[in-house]
Amino acid sequence: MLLLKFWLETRVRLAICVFLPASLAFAAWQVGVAARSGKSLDAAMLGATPWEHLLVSMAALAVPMIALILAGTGLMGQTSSGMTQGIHPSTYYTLTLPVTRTRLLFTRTVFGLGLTAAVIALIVVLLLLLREPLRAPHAPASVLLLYPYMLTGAAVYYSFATLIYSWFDEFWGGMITLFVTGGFIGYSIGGGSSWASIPSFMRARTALEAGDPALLQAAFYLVLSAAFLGGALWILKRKEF
Amino acid sequence: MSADTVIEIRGLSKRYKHAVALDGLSLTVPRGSVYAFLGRNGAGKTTTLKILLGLTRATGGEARVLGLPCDNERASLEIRRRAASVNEKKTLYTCMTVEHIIRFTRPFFPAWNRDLESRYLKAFEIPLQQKVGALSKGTLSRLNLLLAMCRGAELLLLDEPTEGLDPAATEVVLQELMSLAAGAGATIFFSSHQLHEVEQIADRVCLIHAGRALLEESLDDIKLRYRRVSMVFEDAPPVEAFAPFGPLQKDGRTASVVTNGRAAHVVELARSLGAASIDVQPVTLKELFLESTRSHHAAA
Repeated sequence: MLLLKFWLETRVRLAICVFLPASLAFAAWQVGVAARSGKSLDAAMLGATPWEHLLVSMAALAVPMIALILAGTGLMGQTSSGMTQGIHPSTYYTLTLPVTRTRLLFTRTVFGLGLTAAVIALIVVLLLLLREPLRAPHAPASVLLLYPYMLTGAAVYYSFATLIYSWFDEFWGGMITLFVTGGFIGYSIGGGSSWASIPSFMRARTALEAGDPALLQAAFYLVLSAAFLGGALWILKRKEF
Repeated sequence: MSADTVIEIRGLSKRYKHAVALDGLSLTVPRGSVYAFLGRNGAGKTTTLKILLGLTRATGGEARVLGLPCDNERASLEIRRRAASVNEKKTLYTCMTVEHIIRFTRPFFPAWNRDLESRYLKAFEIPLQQKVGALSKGTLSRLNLLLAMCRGAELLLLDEPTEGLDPAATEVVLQELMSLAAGAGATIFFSSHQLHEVEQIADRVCLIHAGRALLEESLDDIKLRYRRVSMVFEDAPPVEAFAPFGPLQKDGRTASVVTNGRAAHVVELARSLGAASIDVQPVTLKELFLESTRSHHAAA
């Protein structure tokens, strides 16, 4: 029954999350059409090739945003949309049900990560569909390989947002997660430590270009995600309402 | 804690950064009673209910519900399984319809009573298909009560249950609460500012002020023992002489004092001091509430 509640709270967010990569894919497809018809592209804006541009958009923008949006407000948010300052009053109803806070957080996390995994699957399907029109250098199997990498990266963003939302309300939590994530992505794109470069990891660059699956880095991100979720649980169990 | 006690609170305190919400509160709620928990805004009623439900932790003292300690996670889960509550704000999930939230709540409580659910939906006039966010304040209050009263709970913890209800709806709700207490033997612990309702349904009363219990008695004892003695003197009333009986209210040559079982002594004293007229009247709960909170507020 908790799933019904989480579904009703998340469905509007899910629609936004589906729309985000779809709009990026649509933009990339239009760029591909323009390139094929011989039009000159805005190289300064596009950077590398349209395919590279699409991969970067998905890894550095779409997936982090999707994870942050679907992590939503953790247990504090009880509405399908809108921003709430302070604790939403209906949180009291949830907390007076005979359910432990551990179970609430666990169910919410599994549900949210499940939706994130579904939207990332959609992203991979979009990439497969655009591979030909954008003249991607990757074979279909290589595109499919992006899925576990994107999912692992998304888990870090998701669990980080869950940690922040267990501490702050929807308004401040939103501000902090956007600010920190934006800064972090900028740092990694700007040549920061390769361990910190989740966007690069999500594009499976070392796996595709050097044949190194970067398993240690993946394990590090999974441990980091688990630590964020552990922190969220620690805060939530001690939080007074 | 005996089996006949449902809630036992001893020396409970709760301190926030800039305020003291509870300051050594003690009370005992007997099984099967309809127990009114009264006090001014900010007296500590909601904080007490939150501690009983495990939403917040006390900084001192002890609270037990159904024999279980409120500050233990496992015990708190069991308390929430066996006790139902209606919180002060009464806000539910706005993204659900009434039907959704009933379907959502039902599986958490194996003793959920479907017959009562149908009965309350009709008696409380709650539209099943309407979104919770679109319900009026009164209907939302009634829906909260339905969700609490159908759980088959041994104890109902209700924070201002009739707030926002019109007189007709209030009457229906009070009757259904009484019927539930009498039929299922549920204990009802409720806070309210509607003192005439308290007099209608409660059998025990606790009045708290600034986080402490000022009185805790059965309503029958209160009606039997508390009296207002009004007196008229030839000159200014001798305030000091009545100090042992409680704070004297005076207005010119008239004075009155609310006494607890000592009206005869006050009358005797007033006669000996030459009072021209003496009148003894029973005290309503409202008078007692105002008198107690006013005198303690003044003392503070």
